[in-house]
Amino acid sequence: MSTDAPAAAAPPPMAHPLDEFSDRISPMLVKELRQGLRAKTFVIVFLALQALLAVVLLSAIGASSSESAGQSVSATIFFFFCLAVLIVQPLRGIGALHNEIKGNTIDLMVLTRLGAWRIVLGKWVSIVSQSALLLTAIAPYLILRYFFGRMNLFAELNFLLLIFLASALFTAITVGLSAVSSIVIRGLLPLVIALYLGAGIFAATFDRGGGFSELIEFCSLQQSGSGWALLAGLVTAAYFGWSALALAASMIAPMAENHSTVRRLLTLAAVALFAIIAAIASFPRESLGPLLLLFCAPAIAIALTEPLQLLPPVCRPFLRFGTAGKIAGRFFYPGWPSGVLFCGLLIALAALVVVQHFATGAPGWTFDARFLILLLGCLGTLLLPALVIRLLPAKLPRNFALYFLVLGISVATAIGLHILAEELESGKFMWAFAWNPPVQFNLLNVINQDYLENFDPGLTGTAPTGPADIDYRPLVLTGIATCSLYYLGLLVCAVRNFHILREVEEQAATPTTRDA
Amino acid sequence: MSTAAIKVNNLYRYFGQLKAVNGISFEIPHGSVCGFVGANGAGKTTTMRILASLDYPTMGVAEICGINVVHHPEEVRRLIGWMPDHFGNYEHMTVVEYLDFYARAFGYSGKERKNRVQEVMEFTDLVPLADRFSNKLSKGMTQRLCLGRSLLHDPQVLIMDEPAAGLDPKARVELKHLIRVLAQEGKTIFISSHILSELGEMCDSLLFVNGGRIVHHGDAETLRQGTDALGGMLYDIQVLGDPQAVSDWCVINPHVEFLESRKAGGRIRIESTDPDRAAEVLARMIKDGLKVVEFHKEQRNLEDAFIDMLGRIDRGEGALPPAAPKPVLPAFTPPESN
Repeated sequence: MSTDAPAAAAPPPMAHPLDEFSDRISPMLVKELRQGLRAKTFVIVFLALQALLAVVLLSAIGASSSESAGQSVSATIFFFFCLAVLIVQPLRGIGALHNEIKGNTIDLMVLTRLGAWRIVLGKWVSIVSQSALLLTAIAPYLILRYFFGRMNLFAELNFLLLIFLASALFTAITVGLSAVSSIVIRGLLPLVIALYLGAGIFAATFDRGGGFSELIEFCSLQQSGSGWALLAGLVTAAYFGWSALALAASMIAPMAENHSTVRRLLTLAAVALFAIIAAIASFPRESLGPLLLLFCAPAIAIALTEPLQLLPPVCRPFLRFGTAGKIAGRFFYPGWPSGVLFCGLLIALAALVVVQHFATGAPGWTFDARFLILLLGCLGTLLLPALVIRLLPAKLPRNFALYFLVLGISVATAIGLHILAEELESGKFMWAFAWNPPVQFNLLNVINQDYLENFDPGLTGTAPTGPADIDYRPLVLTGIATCSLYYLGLLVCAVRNFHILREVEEQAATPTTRDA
Repeated sequence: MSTAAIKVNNLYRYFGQLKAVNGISFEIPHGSVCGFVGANGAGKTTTMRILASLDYPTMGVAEICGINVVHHPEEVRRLIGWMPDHFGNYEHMTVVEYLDFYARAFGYSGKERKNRVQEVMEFTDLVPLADRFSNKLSKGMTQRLCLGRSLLHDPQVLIMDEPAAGLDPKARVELKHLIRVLAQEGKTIFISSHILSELGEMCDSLLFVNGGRIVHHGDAETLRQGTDALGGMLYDIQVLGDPQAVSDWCVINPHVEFLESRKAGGRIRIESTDPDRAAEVLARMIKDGLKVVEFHKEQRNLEDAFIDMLGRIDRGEGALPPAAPKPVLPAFTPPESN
C-alpha cells in the first residue's frame, strides 16, 4: 500500500442545527414549522393521504373502463384532499393562539420584537404552508390521472387551487377565533361547521346528480360571468380572512399596540373600492346592498365589542394633528365607544354607495321595499346585541363572545317564533316581537302570505302582481325605528365613556421623563 | 434621567373593586438585587407585570432606567428580562430550538444568533440538554431555560416572579448561584419569592408588600436583628445564679424592659438601637453584680420577622404608609377578556 496516497477527503462541514431555516423567514414561522412538521396530526394526514391515493390509483388501474375510472380517481383524490385541507388542517388552527394564551407564552413573545400581527400571521402561514405541502403531494396522482383520459386539466387544477385558497380562508378563521376565550365560539362552532362541510364535500363528490362535474365545469371558467364571480369570491374571501386574523391580532396585542385604526381605515377603503367596482362593472342592484353588508358586518361586530383599553402612546399620533386628530380619534381610537361612531360612519358610507348606485340606475326601475327591509333587519341584528351587552351589569365580560351569545339568542328566538307561527297558522302575534330584528324577516314572510291569501282576483280581474301592491310601510318603519333606537342607545353609552378618551389624551399631551 | 434602575411612584392597580396594588412607591438602584416579599394576592405579580409592561397601572408612575413603562413600552422591553411564575413549554421543540426562536424574535441573526444561543446555554448549563424536547424538562431545568431566554437580549434589569417556586434544593442552589453571578455582572435583579431565607442571603434589600401596600423596605440584617416597631432592640441574656435577678434589675433601671424569662436569664428590650447604649446597659449590669455570661442581640429568621410584622400591622401597631387618597377616575379601564 502506497504511503504517499492522498489523504482521505475531509467530510463536508455539517450544517449547523439552527441553520435549517433562513434568517429571512419570520421567527414565528420558523417556530411553527419546526413544531408543526413534527406534529402527529400533520404526519398522519400526510401519510394517510399518500396511502389512500396510492390504493385508489392502483384499484383504478385494475378497473375495466378507463373512462369511468379516470373520473372516479379525480373524485376520490379531491374528496380526500378536501377532507385534509378543508377540515383537518383548518381545525388545527383552533388551538393555535389559545394554547399560547393558556400556556402564558404570549407574554414572553410580546416582550420580544414580535408584534401581534407577526405572531398571528406566523401561525396562519405555518398551517397554510403545511396544506401547500399536501397540495404538492397529490400533484403526481393528478398527473397520473391524466393518462386515464377525459380530464379537463385546467379546470381540475383551478379547482385544486380554489380548494387550497378556501383552506387558507378557513384556517384564517379558525386561527382568528382561537384567540377568543369562549370554548363555544373557538371550538364548537368550527367543529359544527366542519361536520356540515364534511357532509357537503361527500355529497358534492359522490353525488350521482353530477355535483362534482358541475364544480369542475364552473372552474373551467367557460360559463358567462364565472370569472367575475370567482374574482369577487376571492376578494371577499381575502377580506374575511384578513378580518379574522386582524381580530386575533388585536386580541393578543398589548394595549399599547393599536390595531383598530388600521383595521377600520382598511374597512372604509374596502367599501370605497367596492363602490368604484360596482359603478364600473354595473353590479346588479339587488346584490349590492347584501354584499356591502357582508363586507361591513365583521367590522361592525368587532368595532362594537372592542374593549376600551386606551393608552397615551396610542393617542399621541392622533394628537400631533391637533383638533382634527382628536376628532379623528373619536372614530378611530381602539375601543367600543369610538367603534360606535365608526359604525355610524361606515353605515352612512355604505348607504351612500347604495343610494348613489340606485340613483344612477336605468330608468323605469322601481324600488323594492323588501330589499330595504332585509338590509335594516340585518343591521338591527348586528346592533341589538351590542346594545344589550352595554346594558348588562359591568361585572359581565362585555366582549366578543357575549356579543355572539346574545346574537345567537336573538336569532334563535326568531326561529322559535317562526316555528310557533307555522304551528298556529298565524304570524300576526310576531308584531309584538318586531323589536327583535331577526323577527322582521319572519314578518316579511307573514305580510307576503297575507297578501296572497287575501288577494281577490274578482276585484282586479288579474293575477297578484307582487311587491308593488303590498304595503310594506309598517315593516320598513319598524326597521328604521329599531335601527335608529339601537344606534342612539349605543351612542348614548359611548358618549358617557368619552371622558376616558379625554383623560388619556391629557396624559398623552403631558411630557414624560423620557420625552424631556 | 433617574438614577434608579426601577422607580415606582404612587402606583395603583384596581381590578374592579379589588385593589391589587394600592399606592406603592419604591426605588431600586442600578446593580442591586431586591427581594419582593408578600403573601399570595399581596400584589407582587401585578406590580411586576406592570414593570414588565405587560399590565397597566390604574394610576401612578413606573419607570425602568428612567423610561416610563406606559408611555414607552417598546423601549422598556429592550431593557428588561422577564421570568414569569409559570409558563408553558412547547411541544416538539428542543431546548436549542426554543432559545433559537427567541433569539430570532429578539432580532439576532446569522452567526451572532448562534453565538448568543451558545453563550446563554453555557451560562445556564443547558448545553447537555440542547437536543432534549423543552416540554420534557424537569422544573429546575425549565427554570434555567426560562432564565436563559430572559437573558438572550442581555437586559439591564431582570424581573423574576417566584423563580424558585417548586424547585428541589439542588435546583434552588443552582438558581441562587446564577443570580449571584448575574448580580456580580452588574445586572439589577428584582425577584419575588416565598423562601425568605434565600432572599435574605442574595438580596441587597427587601421589599415587603401586604394588601397592595409596601410595609417594609430595608436590608435583611435590620429585620434579623429584631428591631421592634418603636425602634427598640431585643437582647438575650444569660447569667450565673438566679435568673430572676435579671428581671429584678430591669425593674429598677430606666430604658430597659424585661420581656420574658428564659432558662438561665431572660429576654430584654433596650429602648434604642445604638450599640453604645447596649454597652452601657451591659456595663451597669456587671457593675450591679449580675454575673452575665452571655449578652447578644436577638437574631430572628426572616420568616419570623415577616410574620411578626404582619401581626403588628393586624394589631394596628405597625407603621403603614399613609392611606391611599381616593383615586381620580381611572384612566385605564380594567382589561376585558375576549
